[in-house]
Amino acid sequence: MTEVVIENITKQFRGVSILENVNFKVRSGEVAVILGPSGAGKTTLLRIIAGTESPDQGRIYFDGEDVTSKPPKERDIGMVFQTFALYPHMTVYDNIASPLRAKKTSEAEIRKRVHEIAELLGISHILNKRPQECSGGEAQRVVIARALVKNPKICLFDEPLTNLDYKVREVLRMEIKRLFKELKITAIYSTPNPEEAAALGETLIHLRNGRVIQIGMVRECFKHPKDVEAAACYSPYGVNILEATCLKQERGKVLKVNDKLSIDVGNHSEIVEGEEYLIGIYPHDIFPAEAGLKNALRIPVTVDFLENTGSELIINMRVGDKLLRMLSTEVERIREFERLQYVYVPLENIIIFRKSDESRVCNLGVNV
Amino acid sequence: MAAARKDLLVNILKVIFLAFICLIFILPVYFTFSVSISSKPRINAGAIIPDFYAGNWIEITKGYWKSGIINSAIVSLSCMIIALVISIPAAYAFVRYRFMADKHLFFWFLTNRMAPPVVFSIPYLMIWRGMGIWDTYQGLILAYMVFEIPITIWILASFIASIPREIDEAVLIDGYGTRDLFFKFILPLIKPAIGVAMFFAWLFAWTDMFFASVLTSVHSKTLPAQLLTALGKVGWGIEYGPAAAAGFVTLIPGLALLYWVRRYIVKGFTFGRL
Repeated sequence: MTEVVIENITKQFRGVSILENVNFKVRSGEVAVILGPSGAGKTTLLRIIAGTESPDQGRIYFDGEDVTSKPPKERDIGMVFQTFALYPHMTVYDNIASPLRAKKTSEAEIRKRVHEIAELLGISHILNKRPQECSGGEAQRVVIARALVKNPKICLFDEPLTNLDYKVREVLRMEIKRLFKELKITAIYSTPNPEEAAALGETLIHLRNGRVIQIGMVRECFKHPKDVEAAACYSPYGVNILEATCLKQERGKVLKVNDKLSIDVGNHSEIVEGEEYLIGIYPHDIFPAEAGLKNALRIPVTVDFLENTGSELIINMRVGDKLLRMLSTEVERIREFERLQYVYVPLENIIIFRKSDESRVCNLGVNV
Repeated sequence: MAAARKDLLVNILKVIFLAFICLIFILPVYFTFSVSISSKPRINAGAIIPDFYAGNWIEITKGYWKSGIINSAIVSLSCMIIALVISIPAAYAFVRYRFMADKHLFFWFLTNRMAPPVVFSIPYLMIWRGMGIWDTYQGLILAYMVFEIPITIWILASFIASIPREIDEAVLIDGYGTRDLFFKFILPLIKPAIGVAMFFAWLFAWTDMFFASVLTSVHSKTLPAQLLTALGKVGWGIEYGPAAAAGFVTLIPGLALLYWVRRYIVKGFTFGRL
């Protein structure tokens, strides 16, 4: 278990900035998730932590020790690659044994450790196969086994589930979660998928265009996104955006979306009269009934069409001319949902962004 | 019925065509072999069926024929080894490292290969004489390297480029140094390409007649150059029989080597994808 500190990491490639002044800290035994779209610099950042790439500026500390100029073999890390990177000329057994052989471990010890880790990942039966003969899920399990077999200080996961079928992805996500729980390793996990981040991570580092946009506990970040783009990245179905203007009425200040929908914001001093705002609502924060919610906003809607995925319903609705998507797991209520006239959103889940720079101002219902 | 007859006709035409193609390829080989085991009167009579005369083959185990075979073997095998020892690390560096003018250097290597060898013959002849390496093994090998290394680097580089960079990273992260990465991981992975590169490196030196004729005279003359000299003297005491036997000798190792590297070559010739 090791604490990782990343300090002012900057990296350019052929004059293009890949990482800019990246700072964060991963506590010992913690799982940190780097969330960001492709091209955000996630892989480069992991490479720099692994030592296969060196930063132009900045320093990396493992437990307070500066490892910036150390080669990968002196860093004692494990890495799981999106593209597997298994050695095609070796059997699965030899692939997993590879990090131990590099350390000149005795063959008896290697046999013991390889079988242990293979057991843990449920791949004992494929040890004699070649990587090319493995399915995607098996191959990624082998990669994880290879990364963990030497009990590394830190384990890096570079989008390990991205290249897998969705079904395998679900199963493996669960298994990785179990490993994190059992082994209590320090892990840094990169993914473009917010669901994976939420399921696996404790701390979230949101990376965009090589910059850290937001750091915090995963749930906290999702609830209080830095800006509209971050909010869109934090939900698999994106974020609903309604435009509104702050007006003064006899009752006080309101955010007026259209003639039918005005939201009372009298107790929010950060929302200023005459300014334009964007109202952000995640599809999973919208409910078909008020029951069980306190302080919910009622929104009049007209239902456009529904998408039924079998386990989830996506209800596409309109508020004025704006699209509003609602996510529900109550698939059996599909008939009822087709005739929805009002939906409800808890005030604290309504995120207000400034229209000019799209940054978050506040969440409603919370007096900050 | 008519359709069946038409099929039969098409098949017969196919067989005739294929037989004709085979004949074009096999006839020179057969003829060389046939002449090599025919006696002089038989050859002069223009007979196609040999009389199984062993004298020609005995003849080429002696004198300049023998030295030609030995020289060819020494030069071509040396070329093969040296070209690979230089081009495997070079190819790896071209693919994996960025250094000053790397792309230009790679392109320049290739363009060297495009020039007709005769262009280089004049400066080579003058420089080799000046350096005292004319008519030596090292002189001939050096000349061959100029043409072989670009092609072997090219073959190897395109293959190495198909190995994902993540493999290198995984090896380093596993805790190996760069030497282990190269010898324990990269070399086994590019075996097919090494097979093909070996074949080409050997082939060029073994079959070359031009440089061997220009850059050697007595001491290090290889078999193809010896053959050329011999054919130039037909009628002045040199005969077709031993020349044909020597010619056939030049064919044998190629066929043998091709048979040996054939399983690699199928992979290697696809120039990529493991």
